Amino acid sequence: MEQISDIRKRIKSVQDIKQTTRATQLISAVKMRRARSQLEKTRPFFVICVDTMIELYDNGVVQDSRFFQLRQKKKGETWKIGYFVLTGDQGLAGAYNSNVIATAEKHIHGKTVDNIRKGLNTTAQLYVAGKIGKERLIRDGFDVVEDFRYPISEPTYYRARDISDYIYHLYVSGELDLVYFIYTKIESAVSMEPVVARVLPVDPYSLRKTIPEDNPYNQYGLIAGSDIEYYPSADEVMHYLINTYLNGMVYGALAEAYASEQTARMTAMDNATESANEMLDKLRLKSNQARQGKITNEISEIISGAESLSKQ
Amino acid sequence: MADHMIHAEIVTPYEVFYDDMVDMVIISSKEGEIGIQPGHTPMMAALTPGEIRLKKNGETKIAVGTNGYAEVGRDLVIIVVNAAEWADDIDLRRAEQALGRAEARYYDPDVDPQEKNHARHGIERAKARIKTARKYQDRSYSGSSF
Repeated sequence: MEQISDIRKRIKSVQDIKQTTRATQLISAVKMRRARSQLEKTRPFFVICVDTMIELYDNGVVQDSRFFQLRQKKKGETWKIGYFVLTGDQGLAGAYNSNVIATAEKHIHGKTVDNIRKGLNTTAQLYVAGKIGKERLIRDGFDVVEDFRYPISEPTYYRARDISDYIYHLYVSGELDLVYFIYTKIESAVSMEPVVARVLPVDPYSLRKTIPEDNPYNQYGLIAGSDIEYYPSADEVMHYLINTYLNGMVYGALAEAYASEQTARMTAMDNATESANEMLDKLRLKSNQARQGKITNEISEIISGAESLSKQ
Repeated sequence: MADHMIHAEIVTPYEVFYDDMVDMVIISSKEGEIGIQPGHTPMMAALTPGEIRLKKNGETKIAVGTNGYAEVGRDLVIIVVNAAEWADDIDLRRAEQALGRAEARYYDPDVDPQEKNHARHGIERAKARIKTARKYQDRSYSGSSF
C-alpha cells in the first residue's frame, strides 16, 4: 500500500503540470485565432498572384523564361537545391516539429537517390526557421546555413519580403537551381499536413493544385486568348509579378506554418490537460482508499487493544 | 447601373482593401496615370507607389498604393499591391518620419545593396504618401493641430 503522503505529493505535481498545460493551451488558442484570421485575409492576395501567373504562362507571354524552366544538367554536374524549412521555436506542440523534419529528410534523401540514378550530384542547402528544426537537422548531419536566422512567430509581410529578396538573389546568381519550401499547411479546422512546394522555378501545373478550384477569384480565361496590352512592357510587368508572387508565396507559407503550429500546440495541450484530469481522478481515488485503509487499520488496532485489556 | 460600371478590387497581403462597383479607376503606372472605364481592353500594368482613385456616382475616393501590378479585363480591375491606405488615413507626421529613416539608411555608406534597395523603395513609398496626404488632407483638415 502506498503512503498517503506520497500520493498527495503526486497529486500536487500533476496539478502543477495541469496548470502549465492549461495556460499554454489558452495562450495558443488566442494566438491561433489571430494567426488564422491573418491567414484568411492573405489568401485572396496569394490566390490572385498565382492565378495571374498561370494565366500569363498559358497565354505564352512569358518571355523571361529563367523563372519557369528547369536548368539543364549534364551527367556529372550538380543540382544545387535550397530547402526553406519552417519549424517552431518551441516544443509542446505534439508531432508538429517532427513531422516537418521527417518530411524534409525524406524529400532530400529521395532527391539525392533520384539524381544518383541519373548520374548527377546533389547538394542540399537547408535554410531553417525555428530553433527546434535547426538543432535537429544540424544534429542529423545536414548542411544547414548558420547565417539564416528567422523568427517564426507573428509573421509580417515586411519580413517575408526579406526572405523573398534573399531567395531571388540566390536563384538568379546561380547559387541555387531549385528552391523548395517545406512547411505545414492547414487542411481543415483540426487537421494539418506537411507540404513540399517548389517555389522556383515556377511550376504552373503544380501551382494550380495549391489554389482551391472554387475560389471566387478564379478569373481564369478572363483575358485568355485576347491581345493583352502591357504597361510599360511585358518584361517589366513580369518583373513586378515575379516579385509579388515570391512575396506572396513566402508570406503565405509563413502564415500557414504559424497558424499550424499554434493549432498543433493547442490540440496537444488540450489532450495533456485532459490526461492530467484523468490522472488526478485516479490519484484522488487512490488517496481516499489509502486514507480509509489507514482509518480502518487504526480502528481495528484500537478494538483489538481494548479487547486484550478487557480480557485481563 | 451595373452595365456601365466596372468591378474594382484592391488586394493587399493583409486584407482585401476594396471591393466594389465603380464608374472609373485611375492607377499610377510607371509611365504615368491610367484611367480605366468599363469595356477597357485587357491590360496588365506595373504599378509604382502613387494614387489610386476610385470614382463612383460623382464622388472620388483616393488611396495610396505601393508597388504591385494591375490586371484589367472588360469589366474587372484587380489591383495587387504590397500595401494600400486611404488618403484621409495617412498620418503625415509618421510618413515624414518614415521618409527620414529611409533616407538615412539610403545614404548610409555601410549598408549592403539589398538594404539600400529596400531603403530606395521606402523613400518612394513615403514620398507618395506625403504627396497625397498634403494634396488632399489640407482641404478637409485645414485647422489640424500640427
